[in-house]
Amino acid sequence: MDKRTLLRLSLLTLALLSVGAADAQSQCTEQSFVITFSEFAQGTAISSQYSAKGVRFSSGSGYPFISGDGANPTAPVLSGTPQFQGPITATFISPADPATAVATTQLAFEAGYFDEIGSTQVTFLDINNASLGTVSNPGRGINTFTAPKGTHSFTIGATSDAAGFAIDNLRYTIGPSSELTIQSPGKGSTFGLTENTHTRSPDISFTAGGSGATGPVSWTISMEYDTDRTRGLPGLVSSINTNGTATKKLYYQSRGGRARITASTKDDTACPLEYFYVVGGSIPEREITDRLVQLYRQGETPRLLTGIADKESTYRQFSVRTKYDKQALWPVESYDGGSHIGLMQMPSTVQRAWDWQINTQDAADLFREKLRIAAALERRIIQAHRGLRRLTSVERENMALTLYGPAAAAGLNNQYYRAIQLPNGTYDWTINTANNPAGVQYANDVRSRIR
Amino acid sequence: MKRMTLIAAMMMAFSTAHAAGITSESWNTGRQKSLNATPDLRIQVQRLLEGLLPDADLVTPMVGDAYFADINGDSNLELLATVDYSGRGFYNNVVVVQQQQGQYAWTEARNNGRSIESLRTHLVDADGDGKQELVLERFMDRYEGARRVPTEIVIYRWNERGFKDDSDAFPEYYRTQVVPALEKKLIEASSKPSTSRAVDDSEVFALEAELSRAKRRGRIK
Repeated sequence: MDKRTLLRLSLLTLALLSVGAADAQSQCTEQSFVITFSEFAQGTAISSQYSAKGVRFSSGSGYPFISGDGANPTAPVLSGTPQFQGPITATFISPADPATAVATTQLAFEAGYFDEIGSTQVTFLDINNASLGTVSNPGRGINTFTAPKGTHSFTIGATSDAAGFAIDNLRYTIGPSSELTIQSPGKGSTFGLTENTHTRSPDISFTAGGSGATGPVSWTISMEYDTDRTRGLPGLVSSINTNGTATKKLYYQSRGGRARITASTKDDTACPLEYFYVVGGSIPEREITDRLVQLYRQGETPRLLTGIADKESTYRQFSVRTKYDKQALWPVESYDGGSHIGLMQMPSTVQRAWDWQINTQDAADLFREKLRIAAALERRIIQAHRGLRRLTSVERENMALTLYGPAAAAGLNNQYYRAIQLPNGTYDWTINTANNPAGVQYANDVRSRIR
Repeated sequence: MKRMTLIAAMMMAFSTAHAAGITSESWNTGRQKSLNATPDLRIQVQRLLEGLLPDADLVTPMVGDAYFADINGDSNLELLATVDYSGRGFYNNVVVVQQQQGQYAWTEARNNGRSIESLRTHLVDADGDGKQELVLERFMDRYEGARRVPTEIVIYRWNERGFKDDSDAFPEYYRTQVVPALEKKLIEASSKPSTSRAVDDSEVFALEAELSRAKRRGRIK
């Protein structure tokens, strides 16, 4: 096989996949149609001309045809064969796949002109050809008939009206055609991270339904979350199996976002569910404080991390806003579209976005590393300035805060403190607003916001 | 702005470790394309900076983006790199390295502002003199974590000591570029439906402050 043939095959495959996707889409959404029978010339026999609109017609062993009708103000109309006397049967099919029978969710049409009440019958059948009911014309003139939900076909006929009848203005809505449905979770349902110290969702039930829910059902659940400015945060695809209408439960740990579900049996594929949501939980401030103090309990200022959390996120892992068209508690993203995330505004990852315990743990680890660096920088500065005293533990924390903030800088002269020479020739530390005012300001702001 | 410092480079070490590396090539303008196409450019630049910058063994310079450009028009390329020292990904410092007869000189512009994602989009000939300026956003007051706070456009002009904030020398750029763009953003932000009112309000407030500052720079009354 040469490259050109391969390319053609690939393109053909792509095209077929596209058509398949479009079909699946059209089978999974409601579609509404109106037929006025002015779409074809009078005298045209009508069989499958309207199949793209999801309906085909017959009249006994023949076909109805488009006709004028002096008694109907909206003519042309559809007449049975023979004219105005023969029955008309309308059968609803998938617009994308005429071989697939579908049911209507709404259906109405006009018929007449009736000279006698009760002269003509209409029979409605469901998708299994079971009767949904039979009605007669309730009045004279042009009558409107409304079909029961679930009607797959109707036949109007058995008329005893001398002048007969015709139909016009057929309006209907075709529902999803799959016999396998996703019963649970429901579309748009939302689950908060309420369990396991606000890091885990409750159990979420996955249940198939419909007459197609027999035997093994394969599920794929695709959870996605990315920051407003996409950073390629990885999604999570879960595959589970259920049997018939049995339920399987799953939960999400340290993860949230919106999820799309597909489910299929060997014979049928359910219309995908778009979407259900796993969003943040409401974390009491007391719990946040306890956690931050516990993470830095050996520090000179045990509540120091509460100041960082307040400065960075105003003490919030999640905030109410609209994302993926859903107003809910979403991770607090930085102003620039989410380079940083959560309570401590750490560089964005899925876990730091959805698990405040991981977010705070990572920040505490980083701050401890900054303390170590601050101590090392202090030693170098002292070596370069003979007689310079050691920093206090609180002062060393200030150095570390500057190194943790956005104005962190290299160089011994760019830290929170720098060495200055006093008039007597000795050295002391001074707050370094000269070389790193933003770094000093960050550390001071954090201290001023300790809770 | 950091004072320019000349440091003997570890040319031999780099030449050995990276036969086709950036330190084994001459940084002239004819090589701009190939140098910028270096597959592991960011990593190579990081190693170079770790050997150049002070106390890099303690305060590691993390490189976000790197780009070769002829900033001063002398047909030699400068290497520009965004650097974060916090370990939290604030790439708001721009280190400029020049290759001078086997040695490297570097300067640094510390910009207290947003992370710079793509350096080349911030290199702009702001006054049409054929030389590129560095145009960055800087917090007007201070960083406030996740909150939207006003920023200002700052124009750094290159001189022999490095990039220097010379924003007031470019009124035409503010009039023709910055002010119209901010006015457009302000109209859009003001007309948004109030689905998340608090966010919208802070956006409008910030844009109004930014527009006011830009008009002052552009000498618009």
